[in-house]
Amino acid sequence: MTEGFEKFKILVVEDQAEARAMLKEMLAELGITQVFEATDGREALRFLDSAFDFINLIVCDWNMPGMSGVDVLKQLRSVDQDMPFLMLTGRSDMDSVVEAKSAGVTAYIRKPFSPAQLEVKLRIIRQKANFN
Amino acid sequence: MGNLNSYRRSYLPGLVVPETGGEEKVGALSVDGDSSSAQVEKRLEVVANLAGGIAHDFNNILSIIDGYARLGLSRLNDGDSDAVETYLDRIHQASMRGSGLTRKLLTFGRHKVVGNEPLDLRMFVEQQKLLMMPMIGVDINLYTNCQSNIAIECPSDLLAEALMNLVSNARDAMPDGGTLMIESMLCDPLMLPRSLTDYLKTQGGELQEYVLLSVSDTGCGMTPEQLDRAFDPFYTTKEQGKGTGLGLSVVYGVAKQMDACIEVESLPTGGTTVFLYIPVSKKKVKVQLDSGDYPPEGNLSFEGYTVLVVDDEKELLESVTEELGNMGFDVLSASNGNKALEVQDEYIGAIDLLLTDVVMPEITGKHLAELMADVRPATKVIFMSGYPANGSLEGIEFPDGANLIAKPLQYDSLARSIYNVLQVKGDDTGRMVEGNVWKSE
Repeated sequence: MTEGFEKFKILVVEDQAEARAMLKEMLAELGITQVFEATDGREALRFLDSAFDFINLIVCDWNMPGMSGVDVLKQLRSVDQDMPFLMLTGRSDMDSVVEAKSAGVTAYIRKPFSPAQLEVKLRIIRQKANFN
Repeated sequence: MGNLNSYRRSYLPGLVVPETGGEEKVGALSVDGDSSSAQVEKRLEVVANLAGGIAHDFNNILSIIDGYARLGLSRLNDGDSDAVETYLDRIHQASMRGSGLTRKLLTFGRHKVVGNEPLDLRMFVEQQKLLMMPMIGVDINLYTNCQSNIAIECPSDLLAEALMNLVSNARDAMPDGGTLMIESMLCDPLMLPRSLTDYLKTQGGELQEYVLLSVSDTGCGMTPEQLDRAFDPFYTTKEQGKGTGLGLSVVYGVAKQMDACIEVESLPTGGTTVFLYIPVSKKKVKVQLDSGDYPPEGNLSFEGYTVLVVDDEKELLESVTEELGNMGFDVLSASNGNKALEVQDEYIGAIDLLLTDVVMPEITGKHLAELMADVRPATKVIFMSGYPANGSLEGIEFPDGANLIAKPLQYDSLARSIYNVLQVKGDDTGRMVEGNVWKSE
């Protein structure tokens, strides 16, 4: 368990059940147990509509059927500039990095990633968002 | 270049150039500008090949993962944790293989991976030559002839992979032996292929200097038909199981990464040469650190190297930052571990060294180093702190071989310690020669 991480309240948006389960396991290892799940972008936006204040971080896959992670992020940023957003992606090329950044991503992590790599990103997000 | 009756094809970043047949024909056609049914058919065939190749390779990997997962489950029921650990390790290896395959595909695709670094081409080729020798066998004579002091920009592992692919193709083309030549030289603008100069004209801007890197063999050569398909992913003339057909696709992708142009020339009577026209870089190249046990006398220079220094004492951080800058380093600095993680995350290039305090608020230097080892495994680490005692420092246990340096820092010895840590290749753990520097045991 990592000190202070228990304060994270996370919405995981990922269409693949196995990937969601693995992510939850990794988050639990870091001491994060307040994790909500959405299986696609629309479900995520519905959740945010009603339960925005229950979370302080969104962890979202980029490639999903229907709405992509960038679509979700753009919708979110049209109403809120501050909610930290961690994008999960298989892409690491320059164009994708620029696209994610210009859409307002707080951080992105390339798949596959290790628990330590996830911890690094969460530390960076906590640093940037400055929440305790 | 320019042999009579040779077949040649040019390939440019973003432009694929299938000039048909004949001798000495070099030119450029945009993919968008060609809609003949034969071309469409050919493209569909490439896609079909690509899909089939990916499916085949990933299926193999998934079979391995599935197989070991099943074996692991059954051994778990028997309580054999050693076997389970072995199987998990193999699953991890297989997934890394899958990851490597994805990387190759992305390299081939229109995806510029981040992390270009300036390389001295001659030095790079000479280093790679040592790795090539065992690969090519005794029947092939390998010669290199590369002009000094020419830098290009490319991630070194990608360029190494491209070069290895070219060399292994050349080797396979010479089963009975022959000569393999790797050459590089600054390229006169008049020597640039027309397709490249035309392309550069459309891009505008300053005229870029180019270096020509060529890999030639005296092997069986390619037919015009083979040459047309040479860069198709998963296209191979080798027996099943002897090649993935991704070799030249990787070279093509790496060329894109460097904004380079490729030409391939093959003689029907034998011999193939691959020419890479690569833009010359004006950036600083890392100085070569000797591989001797002790650093040379005099001032040490670390031009081209990047260090991340982390300390929560403001004055110390400022003075170390300045001193490292004087040594030639590009210096990144952070006042605590979390900020250091943020700094490294935003920095695109390689970080050669992490120089960190041990005891800091929020996250210790040791934990920072552990996290860095996961996100930047090539970064070497030196810890700075107070008092050593049997590998335990201020209550923190360090792994064997950790590099520790005592505060207050003496900059001469710091430079020599850094020298020793950086010049050690692979995952060796460094050697320390100074009185106030020690390794944990």
